[in-house]
Amino acid sequence: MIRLLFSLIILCSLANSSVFAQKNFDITGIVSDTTGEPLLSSTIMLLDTDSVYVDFSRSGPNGDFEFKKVKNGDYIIKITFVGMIPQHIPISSTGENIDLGVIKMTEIAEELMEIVVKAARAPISIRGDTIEYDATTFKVPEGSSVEDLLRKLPGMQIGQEGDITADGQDVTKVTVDGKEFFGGDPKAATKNLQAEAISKVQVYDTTTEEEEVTGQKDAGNQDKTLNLELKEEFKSGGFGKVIVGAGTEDRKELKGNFNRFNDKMQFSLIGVGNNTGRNGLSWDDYRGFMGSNSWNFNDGSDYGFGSGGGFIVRFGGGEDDGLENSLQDIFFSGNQTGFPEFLNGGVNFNYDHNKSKLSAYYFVNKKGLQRTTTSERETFLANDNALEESLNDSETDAIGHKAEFKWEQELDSLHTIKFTTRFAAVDNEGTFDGSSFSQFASENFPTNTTDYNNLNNTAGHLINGQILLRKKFKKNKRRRLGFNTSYQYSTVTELQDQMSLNEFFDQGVITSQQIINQNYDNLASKDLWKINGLYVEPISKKLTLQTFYNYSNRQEVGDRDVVDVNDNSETVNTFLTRDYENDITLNRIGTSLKYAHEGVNVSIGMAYQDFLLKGLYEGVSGSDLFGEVDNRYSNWIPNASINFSPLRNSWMSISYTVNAQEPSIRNLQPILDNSNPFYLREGNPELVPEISKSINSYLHFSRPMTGFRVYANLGYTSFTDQIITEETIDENLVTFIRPINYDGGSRFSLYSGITLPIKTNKLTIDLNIGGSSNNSFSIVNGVVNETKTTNLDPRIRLNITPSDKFALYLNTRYNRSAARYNINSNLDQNSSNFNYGVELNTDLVLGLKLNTDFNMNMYRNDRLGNDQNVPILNFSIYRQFLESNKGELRLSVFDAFNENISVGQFASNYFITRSNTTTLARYVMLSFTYNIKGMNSSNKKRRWH
Amino acid sequence: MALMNSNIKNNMKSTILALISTLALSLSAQDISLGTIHYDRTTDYSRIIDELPYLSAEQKDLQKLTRGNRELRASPYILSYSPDQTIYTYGKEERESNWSWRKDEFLIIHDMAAGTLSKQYVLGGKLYLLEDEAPRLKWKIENDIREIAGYLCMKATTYDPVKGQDITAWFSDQIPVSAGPEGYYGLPGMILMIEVNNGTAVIEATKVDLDAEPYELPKKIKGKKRNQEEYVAQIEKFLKDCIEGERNPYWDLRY
Repeated sequence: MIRLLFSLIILCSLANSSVFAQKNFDITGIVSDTTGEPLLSSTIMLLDTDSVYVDFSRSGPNGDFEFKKVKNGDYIIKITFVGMIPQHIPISSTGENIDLGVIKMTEIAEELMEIVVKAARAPISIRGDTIEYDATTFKVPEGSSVEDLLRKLPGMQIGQEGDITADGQDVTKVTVDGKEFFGGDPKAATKNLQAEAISKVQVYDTTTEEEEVTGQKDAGNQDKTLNLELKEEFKSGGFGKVIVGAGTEDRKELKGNFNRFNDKMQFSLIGVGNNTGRNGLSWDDYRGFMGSNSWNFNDGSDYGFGSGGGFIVRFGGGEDDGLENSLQDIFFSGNQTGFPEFLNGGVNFNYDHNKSKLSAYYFVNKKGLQRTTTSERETFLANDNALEESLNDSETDAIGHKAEFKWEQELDSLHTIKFTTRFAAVDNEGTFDGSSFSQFASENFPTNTTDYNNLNNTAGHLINGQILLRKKFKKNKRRRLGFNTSYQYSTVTELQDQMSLNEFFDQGVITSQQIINQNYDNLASKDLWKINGLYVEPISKKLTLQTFYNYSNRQEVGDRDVVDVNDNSETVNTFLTRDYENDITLNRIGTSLKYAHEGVNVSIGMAYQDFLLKGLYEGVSGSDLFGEVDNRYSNWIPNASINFSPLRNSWMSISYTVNAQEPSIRNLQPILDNSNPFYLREGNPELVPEISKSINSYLHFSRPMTGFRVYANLGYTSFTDQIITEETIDENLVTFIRPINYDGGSRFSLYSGITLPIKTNKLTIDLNIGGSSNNSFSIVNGVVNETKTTNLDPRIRLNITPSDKFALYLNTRYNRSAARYNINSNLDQNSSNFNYGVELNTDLVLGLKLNTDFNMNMYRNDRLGNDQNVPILNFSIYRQFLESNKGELRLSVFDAFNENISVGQFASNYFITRSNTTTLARYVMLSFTYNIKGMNSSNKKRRWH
Repeated sequence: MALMNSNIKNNMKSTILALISTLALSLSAQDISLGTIHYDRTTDYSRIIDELPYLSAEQKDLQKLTRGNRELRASPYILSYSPDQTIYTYGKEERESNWSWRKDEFLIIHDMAAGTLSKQYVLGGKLYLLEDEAPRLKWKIENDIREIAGYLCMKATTYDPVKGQDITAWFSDQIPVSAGPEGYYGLPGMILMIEVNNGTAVIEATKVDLDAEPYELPKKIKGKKRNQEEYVAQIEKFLKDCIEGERNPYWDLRY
């Protein structure tokens, strides 16, 4: 009741005041130029004292304007007219109307007006006596000084001696970002500073010391001050870190990277050394190293149908000497089993300015590896099985160098040229010692045994050069022409000392003994030429015709010298010593019609390809070892694809591709390769290319608001003339292998997943399933063996992230493979690998944080009667310190249970293998990180941003 | 000598005045309150990522480094205007590639006569239509002037509290329509340029076409209806969730 009464009183008093005092007032005025001529249609804005826009009015024919019923208070009247200096008039009223009278507008100095209206489209700012230029809009040549820039500014004059005058007044002081530069000597700043660093130039009247004190303007003082505002560079920065760690078991790690960049140049260094088995290089490290060059995976590739049907000319499986590896292979290689030692380092430089792009890197990687593997292999024969047990000890040391230089130049807006050169060198050394033992499953004595001791030294280098040209056409930007040509030369020398003792048994009784002591000297070189062309012709707005041509020629020359060593005497081995020359030429021409409209992209095409394979194979003079291949294969290759987006945030594509893979020369040469006495190999000159026809489809759908996502990837491939092996295994378990063509193999694969957000950002579930089904053939001892392998790999993952302080990830994965053999269902086998993992990242007390991950791998194979569990627990406790978390001290325990072993399981159509490799197990490490930019302290795993 | 100098000066002065007056004349000859303005919009995703609060300084630098000097692609927009209404939508794009992407529906209709604003927007994969009274934007007028597409513009700034963006508008009182692109309006003239967060996104007029036919609206404007209050709540929640979940909201939401 009292409150109501009170309100009533207030209401009454308010009503009263509005009756007795004016709440509003009117403003009137007339706008004219300096001569008194009225200005029609000038804009008059009513602003509050913070310059916030309230209302506006336009002057009428007599230059008159008015604002009616303006609320009482303080305001600014701002009057603008094209070509005139805007005027500000502060006003204040408590109810009385204001008449501003005649407001005279002054013209903007014509030089200024000229820039504003037509010259540089430069924003200029006029604040009282200050005129501000946007320096970035005045173009000066690269490397120009501020002085050169000032010459370009209207109203600014630079004398012979570098004296500056602005609007005829001397500039006596130059400041940078408002601060005096080198004692305020105007010339020092303008001559020494780079024009590129300046964002704004401001000129205003210099306030003298006296004026500062008195606050009075001295009419006699006409001096000007020039202020240069520095650019706030967005595209510049740098980061870097150092990690040093030492642990038990003599484990060490050292890693450092450093990076500097601005909008033109990028420079980076990286170095990693460790003996922990972890590669120590990540995707972020790759990006940090390569900078703006990170995405150029696919420079100057062989042109083809484009999306939905790539085409790659892969020439024969070269030996894995690392020579043709890319830099990405080094950065993205996984953890290494065994006992490795890494040393990697490199330097990269990129330059990108105007029309030139340049990038260069050098990278060296050194890897030492010591490894012991035990393995079992079971080969299925028609009426028995062969078992092999082996042990392999290896020690390898490899060093590789890579360097690349790229230069891209935009010749004009339509033409671009690009040069690339690459260089690589490798030097690998290794010793491989071991033994193996073979027997029939039905017997319990050996059929043969081997002890071997091999030394290997490989060294080689590669150079590659490429020129690429891109052309657009003026009339229609969709018309394009691309052309590239490349040359690559590589040479590899391999020296091997092979020593082995092979024993053959009959019913457990030794029947023969073979000692092999051979020295190999292999020299192989390769010349590869490629020419590729592409032309895109727009037919209509929606249709284009894309035509491509590929030519490649590879010439291989090899020289293998083998000598048998017998009690210090060396004799040439006439079976194994040989020379070869291969010449392989591909010509391919194709065209496709493409439709693109409203998010639907369809392509249908056809190509014709022609392979010419020539090979010559020769033993030492006098031996009858001689082989020749001269085959020509021509194929039509169709291709079709469709890509579209059926719903918002969805994507779907279906493609049909055909691939014709030519047989390798090695598979064509009708010569027996007896370098391994237990696996004899002979080529087949009747081979024709393997044709695979594939249908692939991909579907993706997401709801970004909730994080929901579903995707599926399905693929089916069927083979005609698939190249398979025909094997004959004799009573001594010596295998004779010959490649043949066979129709009927197929492959089906599926990969799909769904992410279900249960509670946004707190709890999500990822479900994933991968699967494949393979139908493959092999011929063992004259019997066709059809094998169906199915593989199913479901995974579930729970992401529990209630806050920044705590994150828990649970995952489980089950991988099951089943193989079914039509020759003998008794051989059917199921193997499985069950894995579960827990990952926990959380804050502890005293600023300490904990990372834990536990992984349990369980391997099962019902045929081998195998049951093996490998539980691995890693955890580390760390604390970040220093300003913005620049420092981190971490204590880590790896493999706390000391159980690490690497297990491999593999089932093919006629054999299965299993292997165990001893691998670095438990160790404790203390490491310190210093990051110059500071680290993220969130416990959540990083996402793509 | 001095005489000659002043003569040149006078000459220049008259040229400029003539230039300005022809500009004004050509404007008055045609009805300037009807037309179509063509804009180019560029969005710098590298800057957007740089604004994300959950990334460390190193991660921000790393993405800048990787992007390098990649050129920003401009997409065309048009604003068809009359004294009563403006329609802002995609302009015709001359496709340079032979690939076509799906485009979401996008229209902003500002009815100045009725004081309403309709805006299509996509969020979380769904199309919405905001329909409500056009809220008053609080503009601060600054002292800079510049020329855009042949018109002299003045600078005004405001702050978008929903997306947390600093907005700079360049408007010209030579086009006496209180409107603009991208859902900005409320200044004593046409907005010819918008800069979001100091240039992370820039919408700049390239041409003012006074002869253009008015844009024909589709019969039905699609989208789930939302009012201003619901729109603000929805955007604010989305941004909060994204930032908390460490996802970039602007892969989905228009910046």
